[in-house]
Amino acid sequence: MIVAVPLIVASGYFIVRGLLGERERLPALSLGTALAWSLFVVLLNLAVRAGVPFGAAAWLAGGGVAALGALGWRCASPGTWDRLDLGLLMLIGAPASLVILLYQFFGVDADYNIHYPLIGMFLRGTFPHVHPFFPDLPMGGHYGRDLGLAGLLSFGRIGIGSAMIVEAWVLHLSTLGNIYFLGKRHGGGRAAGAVAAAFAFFAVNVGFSDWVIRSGLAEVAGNNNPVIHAFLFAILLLASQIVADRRWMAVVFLGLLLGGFDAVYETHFAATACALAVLATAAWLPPVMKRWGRRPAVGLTAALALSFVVMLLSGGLVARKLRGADAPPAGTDPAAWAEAGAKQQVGVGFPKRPLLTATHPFDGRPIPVLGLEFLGAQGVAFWALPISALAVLRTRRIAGGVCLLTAAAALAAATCFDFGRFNSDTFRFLFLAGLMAAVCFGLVIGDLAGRLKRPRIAGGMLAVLVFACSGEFLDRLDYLRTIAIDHPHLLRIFEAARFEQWCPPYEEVDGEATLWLRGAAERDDTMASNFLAPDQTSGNDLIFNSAILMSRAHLPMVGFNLRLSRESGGFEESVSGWSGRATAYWATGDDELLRDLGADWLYVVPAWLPPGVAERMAASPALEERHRAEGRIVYRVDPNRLAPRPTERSDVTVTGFAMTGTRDAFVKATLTVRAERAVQGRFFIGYRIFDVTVGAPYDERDSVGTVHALRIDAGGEATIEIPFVVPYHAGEYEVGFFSGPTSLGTTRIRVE
Amino acid sequence: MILLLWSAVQEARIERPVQRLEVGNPARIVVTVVNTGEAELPGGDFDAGQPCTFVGLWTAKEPPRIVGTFEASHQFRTPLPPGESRTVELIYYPTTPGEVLLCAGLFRASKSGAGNGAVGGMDVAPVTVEAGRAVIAHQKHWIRALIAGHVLAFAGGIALALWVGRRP
Repeated sequence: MIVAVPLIVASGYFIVRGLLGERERLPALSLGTALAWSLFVVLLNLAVRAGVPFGAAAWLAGGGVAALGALGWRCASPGTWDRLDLGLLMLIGAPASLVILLYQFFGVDADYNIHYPLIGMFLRGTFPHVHPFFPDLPMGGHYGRDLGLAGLLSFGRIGIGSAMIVEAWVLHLSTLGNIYFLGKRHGGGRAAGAVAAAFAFFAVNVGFSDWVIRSGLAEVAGNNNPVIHAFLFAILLLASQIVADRRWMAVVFLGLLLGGFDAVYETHFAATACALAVLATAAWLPPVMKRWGRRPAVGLTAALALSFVVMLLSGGLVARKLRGADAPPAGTDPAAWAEAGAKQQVGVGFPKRPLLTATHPFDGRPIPVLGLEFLGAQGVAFWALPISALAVLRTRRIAGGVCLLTAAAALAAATCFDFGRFNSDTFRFLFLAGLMAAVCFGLVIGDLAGRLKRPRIAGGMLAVLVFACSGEFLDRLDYLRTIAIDHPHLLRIFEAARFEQWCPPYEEVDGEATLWLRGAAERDDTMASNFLAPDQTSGNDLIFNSAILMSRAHLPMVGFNLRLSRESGGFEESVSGWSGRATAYWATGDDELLRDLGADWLYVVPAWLPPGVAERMAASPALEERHRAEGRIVYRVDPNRLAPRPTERSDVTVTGFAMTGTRDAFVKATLTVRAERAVQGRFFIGYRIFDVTVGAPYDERDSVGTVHALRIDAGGEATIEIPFVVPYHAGEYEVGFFSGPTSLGTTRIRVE
Repeated sequence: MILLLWSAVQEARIERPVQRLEVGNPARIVVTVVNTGEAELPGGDFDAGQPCTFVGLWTAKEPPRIVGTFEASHQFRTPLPPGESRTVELIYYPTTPGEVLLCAGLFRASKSGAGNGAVGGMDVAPVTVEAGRAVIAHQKHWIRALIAGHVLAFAGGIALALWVGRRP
């Protein structure tokens, strides 16, 4: 990674210098970094889609980018520096860089619980990607950033989280430069570029007053965002170059980047593709063609055509929609609904009801976008969007045009289209609309100021305006001052320190044991673990702890509960805790439960098991201790050494059910079973829980069963003890007992 | 008023002895919360809008009179009924060697902001932080150097822009 990133940056620099004919070094550096990183992601995705093994695909993609860089190096003419550009970029970039780094060093990366394991699994060669917590569920949805980062990490590893710091800093500063040069070259000059970049990073101010207001890109630097915005502004710059500079290589790069963008982030891809489709259509209109000539129309259309081919090959949003693989299930079956959530199957309807409303990300209520509740929370640039639009139409500058079209597409998507359960996620569209409105506003104001006769006064006024609109950003600075100066935490650069922050039980020994497991496991293996300290009681603790182990071992983990509430939407919500089988297994160490768990490896902390369970596991013929470190044991599971499950049906009826102990997740239950005819032998008896409240199985893929020795005379009764796992959620449940295909009876329980 | 009543009775107590503290090494601080009042201490899913009690840990140089900015916290997922106690572990990262007051207290918070505020008294344990494994890498001067570097870059940008911009 440490070598790969400079190589990517250098290749991109020479690609832009040589193949796109850029004479200046700074724009070549900023566009080149975003372009080469994005090309690497696109080529890597195409290669693995074509069936090339991951390691070879990374070399192919990296080699392709390097080869283009070498070609550019051969073609590049002597470059020049513009020191005023450098000064302005240092002026805007320094606070942005500081905030990006402080957030990375001190903050918690959002959704790392899904991205870290995915990157680890990509590194192992798992493709297409599956849900790390439910390895049998293929995931729809974006993955390009994780795949790309895994590709770069494969050239020499630093930690995944450490690589994210490098990614965020390099790509976000490249984006800052791209916005600046988009404004300078195609939007009205230096002042337009500088103000647009400053507004984009510090004064977007979009959100909900009772939820969160995002101040700008400087604080939106985690998760997928650096890669998304690198793609986005590289695409807009290339489109502007096709119109203004008529570069044919820009057509090829635009086609590749736009085509590959849909595997990186669907929302931004959709808005950008719509905007460029409108621009390409407009370019064919006679008045526009008269002004621009024929080449931009042909170039944009060719780029869109190429991007469509890439989309079909990349397996992203368009390919999935055309295959019908993304359609959410018809009807209202909650189990299918839950699974569709985990698979990220998003339906799109039109019109949204009520129309022109934003969906609150927290409680899902519709808020009219023309009402004061919504508008009152937005920043100046958002309010000024109609004026910016008029100014852009008047000045006819291409940079303002593409940004305006993207803002309009994003706003229309968030307020006019219905994404069903994922409506609460449409804040991504709103932020994109706000970001583009901010860039537009900056371009217009900067363009206007650039025409003034007194540049110093104009510059001063612009600085005051940006400062006045950056209140939310200044609040973030105050927060960062608090955590960095008043209460300094560790500078979390290296992986162990980042893990310690998110996963308190993680210790050095976990790093060693998971590294050993990474080397010992096969590609498609799975693991299960009781890595949840006794004082950790929430579902989030389980998710975070498990994610750390998965990302270290590069293995998915089994044994989680899958249940989505209708309102939640996001798949992260799907893990409420361990599945019934896993809960029962970690409470008992029963081999019968181990068989159903389906894990190839167990990562065990014996100290956190109930008394006697560690000894029972150690005595299990199916578990082979393969690694032991201080307080950690790694077992290999051999399912062939488990006693075969009896197939004989138990001819009994469950006539009584009583839970013993408190109603924590795991209790023991006593079953009274009655036999009409004499019964003798070993029988498998299990149960499955049905959620009466929502009318569906509590967890579609989970039942719990154990083998019992029964000897009952005709008409007699017996009592047996079963491991019983109480549902995590309050509600009314029907417990159905079974033996093979035979139903043994049902009982109802209520969980408060 | 309700908050004041709570303030009189709830308590968070740092269990002694506190483990050996070294700069750069995370330490587990055990805090016992006792609900000696008549109302339960709220707990639940904070992200879902339910009011919650947070057990917080922070450091101070002088005995604090108000709850400080938490350096580590634990959220109650379930309410704590009257008369019951709960023990939680908080991970504290010492960053500076020397004498320091380790403080623990309770804070009630909800997304709506209604009823937010400190609950009950606080416990203060004087501790000594010893120089540890990562003194150099994790000292304040690294953070200050980072900030100073960026301030210099910012000032340099202004100077460069003004210098180049004033030339014809």
